[in-house]
Formats: sequence, C-alpha cells, structure tokens
Amino acid sequence: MPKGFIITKWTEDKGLVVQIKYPGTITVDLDDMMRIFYAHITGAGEAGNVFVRLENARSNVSSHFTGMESENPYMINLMLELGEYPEIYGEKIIEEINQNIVNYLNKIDENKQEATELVEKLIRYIKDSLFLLERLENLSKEQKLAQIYSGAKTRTILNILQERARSKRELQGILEQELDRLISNLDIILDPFVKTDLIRQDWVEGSSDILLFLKSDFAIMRAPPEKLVEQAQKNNPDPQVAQKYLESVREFFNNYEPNQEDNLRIASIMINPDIYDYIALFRDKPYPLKKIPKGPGESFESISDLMRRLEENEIIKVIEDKSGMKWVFLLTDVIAEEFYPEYLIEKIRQDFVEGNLKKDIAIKHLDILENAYPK
Amino acid sequence: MKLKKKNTKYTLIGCLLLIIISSFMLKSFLLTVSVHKMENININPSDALTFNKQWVNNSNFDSDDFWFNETNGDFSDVKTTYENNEANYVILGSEGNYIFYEEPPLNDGSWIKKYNPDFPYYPDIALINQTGMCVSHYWDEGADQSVSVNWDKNVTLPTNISDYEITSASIKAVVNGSVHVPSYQPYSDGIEAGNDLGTNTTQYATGDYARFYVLISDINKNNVYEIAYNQTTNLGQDSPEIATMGDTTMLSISEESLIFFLSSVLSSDFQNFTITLGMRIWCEDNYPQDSDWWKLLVIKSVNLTFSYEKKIDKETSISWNQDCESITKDISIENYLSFRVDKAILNFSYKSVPLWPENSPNSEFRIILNGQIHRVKIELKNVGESWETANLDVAYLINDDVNISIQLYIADTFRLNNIVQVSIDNMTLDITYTVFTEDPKPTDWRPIIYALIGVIGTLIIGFVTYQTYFKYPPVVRKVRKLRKKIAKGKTPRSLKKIKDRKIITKNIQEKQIMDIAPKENENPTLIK
Repeated sequence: MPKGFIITKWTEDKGLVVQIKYPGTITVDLDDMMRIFYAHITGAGEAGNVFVRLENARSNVSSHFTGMESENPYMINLMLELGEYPEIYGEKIIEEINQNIVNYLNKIDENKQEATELVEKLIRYIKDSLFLLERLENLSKEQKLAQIYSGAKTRTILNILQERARSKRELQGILEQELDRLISNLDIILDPFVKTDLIRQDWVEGSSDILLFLKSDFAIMRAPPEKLVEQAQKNNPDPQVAQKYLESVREFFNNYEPNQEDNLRIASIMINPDIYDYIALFRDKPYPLKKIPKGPGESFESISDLMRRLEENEIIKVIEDKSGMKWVFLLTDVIAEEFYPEYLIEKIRQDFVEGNLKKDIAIKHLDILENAYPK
Repeated sequence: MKLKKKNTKYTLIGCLLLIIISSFMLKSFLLTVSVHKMENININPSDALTFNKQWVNNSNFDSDDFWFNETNGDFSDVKTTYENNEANYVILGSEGNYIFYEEPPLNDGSWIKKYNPDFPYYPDIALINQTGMCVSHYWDEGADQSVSVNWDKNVTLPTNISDYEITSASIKAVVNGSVHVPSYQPYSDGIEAGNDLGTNTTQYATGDYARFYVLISDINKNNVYEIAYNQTTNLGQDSPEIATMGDTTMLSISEESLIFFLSSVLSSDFQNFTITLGMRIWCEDNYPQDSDWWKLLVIKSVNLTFSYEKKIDKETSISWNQDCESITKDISIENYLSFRVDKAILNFSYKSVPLWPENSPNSEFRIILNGQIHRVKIELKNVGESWETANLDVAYLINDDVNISIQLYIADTFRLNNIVQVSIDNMTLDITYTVFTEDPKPTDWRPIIYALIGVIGTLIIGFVTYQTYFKYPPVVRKVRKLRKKIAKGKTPRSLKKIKDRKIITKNIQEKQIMDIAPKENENPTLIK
C-alpha cells in the first residue's frame, strides 16, 4: 500500500525543497531525499525514474525526476512500504500519474495567481491517485492480464515466453537486450504472470536456474457487448435506438481488425479501475446519460470527461432517442480472453528437433501443458 | 468449451462401445443357460432334467400306421390282419378229407389194366363191367399156372397236402367169386382147396387159391404198399362144398400203417398217387392130370378214405413292429451330456380266439426291444379268449433306440384244423428318463465365469483405454504423444492440425463477432 507522495524541487539557492507532501502526516527525511536525488543525478542527471530503498525510513521509493535541464527540476517520490515495488501497479499508471503531477506543477509555476487553487487540485489529484493505486492492488484477473499487456517489460516477457521456455537469467538477458535497459527486479515484473497463472516456474534437473514455462496465453481485443446486443435484438430499450445501436455495433465490427496500437489503448483503459468500473456497469444495460451512477466524490464533470474518453476510444456510443434522451451504450466491450497455448506444442517439437531445446525441458514443458489444459 | 464438448463426445463413444460389448456377452450368457420348455419337464435340484413320455405311436391301433409286420418260417402257416382296431396274428389251420369210392369200379377207361410185375401172365379173362372187375381162368397143366392182373388208377387230391398231415384213413374193398368144385383124376376142373388135402388129392401144399388185393403207390411206383387183400382158403372145397364166396371185405392193414403208407406215397408228389386193384390166381398142380376152373372172381367195390390237417411248422414267427423315435432324438436340450432310462413300462392287451391249441404247448409271445428278447414270455397256452393285459418293465432293454416287436413264436410243429386268431391292442410304452445337460454337478458356473471375465476384461480394457487415451482431449493426446516420443529419444514428426497463435486469436475474435449476426426478424445489415 503506497504511503504517499513527497514532491521536492531542486533550486540553486536552497537546494532540495519539499514542495508538497501528501498525506500531511508523512515524515520527510531530507537525507533520504538527497539520496534519491543523488541516484537521479548520478551520471548525466537526465529525466527518468529510479527505485530507491530507504533503510532509515523503512520505505521503498519510486521516484520520477524531470531532469536538471528542465526549468523546474522536480522530483516526484511515491513512498511505498518496504517490500513494495512500483511494478505492481503497472508501469503505465505510475508514468501517467507522474506526468499529470508534472503538468500540475508546471501550471502552478506558470500561473502564480491561481497557485492556491491549483495546489488544492493537485493535492486532490494526488489523493485520488493514491486511492487509485490502492485499488490497483486489487485488480481483477482480466485487468491483471491487461496490465501485463500494457507494460513494455511484461509484454516483452510474454512475447519471449511465447517462443519457448527460458531460464530467469536468459529471460533477463533477452529482456535487457530488447528494451535496452537494465532490469534489476525481474521477480517483481513476473509477479502479474504468477498471479494470473500464466507461467509456471520450475527447476529441471541439470539446469542451474529456475525455468519459466508459459502455460496459458491471452489476447486483448474488443468484443460485441453480448447482453446489450441481445437486448437490442429484442428492441430494448426502444426499437429505433436498438436498431441504431445494432447498426453501430455491426458497422464497427465489420471494419474491426485488432492491432497492437488499439490493443494498448484498450489495455490502458482496462487497467484504470475507475473506467473499468463503468465498462463493467455498461455491460449489463444501456444507461440514459443523465442517470449514469456516480461514485463517491465524483462530479458530473469528471464523469463527462471519462465518458468523452470512452467515446473517443469507441468504447461507448451515445444514441439519442425520439424524445431527445441520450442513451449510453457499450459499443465495444474490452476483454482479455485467456486461451490454451496449443501452438507451443509444435514449437516445442520444432525446437527439440532443431536442438534449441533440451530434452528434459521439452518434457517438463509438455508435462506442464498437459496439466494446464482446461478441465 | 469446444474442446470440452469433444472430450465428452469421446467419453460417450467409449461408454457406448462398452455397453455394446457387454450386452453381447450378457446375451451369449443368457442363451447358454436357457432351457427349452418341454412337456412334463421337472428340474431336479441337481439340474438334471427328467422327462416322462408315452413312446408308442398309434398305440390304440386306430389304423395300422407306424406298424409293420415281419414273418419268419412257413409263410403259409401265419398271417397278420388288422381289423376292428386290433392287430391280429392269424394261425392258418385247416383240414380236408379224401374219399375214393367206386362200386363197382368204373369202366370209364380210367383204370388201366397192367401186369403184375411178379406174375406177368394175365388170366384168361380180365375185364371191368357192371359187376366190377371180373376175372375168369381155366388151367389144365399149361404154363398159365400162376396168373395175375392189376388195374391202376391215378388219383389227384383236391389239395396239395405237402403242408398237411394225414390224421385218419380207412380202406374197404368188397370181393366175391365162384369156382368149379369137384376134385378128381383126370381133369376134373375142380379147385383143390380147404380140406381137400389128403382126401381127393395126391399132391397138395397150398391148394389152389385166388388173392384179391389193393395197392397204393406213388406215381412212379417207387414205393408200392398193399393196404388190403383177401386170399381164398377154402373156395372150391369139395366137402362140404364151397363153390362160391359171397361179398367179402378184404382184410385191411391197420389205420396207422395205412396213414403211414399214404403219407409215403404222397411224399414226393403231394397231390397224386396210384391205386391198384388186382387179383392173382395160383393153380397148384395137385394131380398128374389136374385142371382148375375159376369161374368168376369179382372185385365189387373199393372205398379208400382219409383225412388231413394243416401242419404248423415249428420256429415260424410273426410280429407286429414299430420303430419309435430314439431317446436322443427326443432330447431337444442343447449341449446335453448323457441320459439315463429310469423306467420303461410296456403295456398291451392280448387274447386268443379260439383258445390256443393244446398240441402246441410251447408257443409264446416274445417281447423284443431293440433285438433283445425280454426275459418274461407270455405262453400262448395260457392266453384266454378275453382281453388280458401284460405289464412289463423293459427299461433294461433300452439304451437309445426304441424298436418294439411283439412276436408270436411257434415253438412246436403241430396240426391245426382251424384258424386261430391271437390279437393285441392298447400298446403303450411309458418311458421315464433323466437328461444330464453337462455334468451331474449342481450348476455349471463356467458360462457365468467366462461372461464375467469377458465383462471385467472389457471394462478393464475400456477403463485403461479411457484413462490412458480417451479421457484426454485431442490436444492433450498430442501433448502426451509428443512427450512420449521425446522421452524415448525419437524424432517427432511435424504435428498437423495444431493451430498457431494468430489462428487461435482469430478464431476467438470470430466467435465473439458471430453473436451479433442478424436474427430472422431483423433487417439485414452490413455483417461480413
């Protein structure tokens, strides 16, 4: 569970200054902050992310630095429990939060008159973000799969393991090579794979390292909302609206060809708990725009933004009936469909025949695949 | 989902195969232990089956169907008849008699005059006329001192009596004669006879005499028998004078001898024989100048009578037979092992009309089964004229075949002058037998054990096949097969029908989109 955010700013005259901290009760040890800062500026001092373990504060810190070259070098520190790693929330979310905070900070710097309000907004945003991160710890399996797909590291790991089983060392090597960066916490990255039961870690006699076997696979895609289509086929909620809806759905899927870009978009939507909650809501029935349920603390504006984002991404469709009432339909459901990696059988055979796979590893992977077949 | 359905399909096929194989085995088992229903069937605790059945067909002789006859010995002595719903043994007794009587012997040419081969000189006169057979002769020291004449007549009996026996006979022939009596020298012409010896004669031995006789012989005269005669002893005696001999019956041989001689002359030709009537005259030379005058000697009549009866030959037999169904043919139980005849009772009624003749005390009914004579015999002399019933246990004579023969056996040669009819009726043969189907053991469990082994074997094979193969979906089977090959170090061939990742994801997507296809009541849309 994240402890909070501590945002510091580097100034020539005062050095490292704490700008904002949330919650207010969180303690700030400047020495620790300096340690983080040093981690960032060691080398070229470029913008980027570091992960630091603070023994004194009994915390782990995921820190984003805007760079010494930036106008206002900010350091946004997400304070985590010792043993917690940012990867558990997914790379994308943290990046997104960091970027939004940076945007707020830049606005504050640019607009001193509204600084107070903007700071309040920023604090509210940080508060919401912390709440979001808390919720990210309890994602559904489908969201976890989307999380794997949306992260570059996890997606690359998935691609590597779709080829054949690898030892951890091998995987790390390939991963670093492909992403062109150091990977220090592979076990944390593999965590969603383990939790979603996509892989099995096992040891094979004669092998020096733990091997990772893919035992299940998944595909991110859009799918027609089953219930809504069924209701529309029964002319619900209104024949005209239903017909329009069906036409929209059919038109969309007539032209739909899944691709990675679209998949990444829908994956990022899926891993956002707030958005995902609405998608889950819209799966059951269409809602009049005015009657969309609001969560605690949510404003009409925030819902409108959210709806707009969903509409832009062709997740929902707003259809107006004769009386002028706007109905929100789920145009495309977003799903992570898990399936049995049947294709691996031929790959194992091929790799074994070509000498790319040891006999014991091939047998072990086949054992795992036999047991993984859905009962 | 689809794979699960396939898995279920293979499981169902496996189960169906098991049920079919098991059903066949169960059916086979039920067929093995099934027993055909039969009349009077009793199932003993030992599993042996006991049957009781009346075996004789047409036992009441409603017709002569199923029955056949067999005769041995003299076929003319016996025959079978079927009448009044009874089967009869008929003993063909009969009788007859023959009378040869001529008075006087007929002068119709049937009598042939012939020489007496021992005295081949005819008398002066020998002829047949209204008086009879007449002879007259005069001798005066000539060569015709001893003369004789025979008349032969061949007679034919109305019946061939080869199979008959003469039971009584008699012969009667009447003669008379007249002679010149005075006896003196020379040439008195008188007959010297009786007490003329020593009185009026100088030489005398036998005196003069005439001999009348009746002979019988076979046609070829190989056997000639004198059956009656009369030889004068005092005809021509001077004192007291006996000049004539009135009608005198010839002396005949005893009846017993006559029967014997008749039988003899009829032994070669059983219907024809010859009767000879004859006279012989002896003129003894009683004086140096002797002459004898036999005025007239006559055979006036002859009467030969005899009776005969049918001769029934010993060892003649006649039977009523029926070849019944064998016991094995009667058994319709499959896979029977053996059978045992527990009881077999033969019943039948019999009578004799008239009573069986006493002169055949040893004749009997013989009950023959399958060629073997039953130890109990029914003596015909004890058979009455009313129905009696025989009740015999014949089980020891039955092995498998049931061939019945009720034989009337004639054990004596005897005469029978009338027909005797012995009848039988209401013949039944009740056989009780036990059939052992396999073994006298209480129950043969082998079929059950075999069936159970078969079923268990099939179930085990089915279970093992299911556990090692059919239990797994086709994809998993491929995994297992590949693993086995790799484990054995073999080079596995390329796996066909394995979908690559793109096809799998494409299939998932297509399946999702299929759900939005327009329904029948909808307008067609732009679906691909």
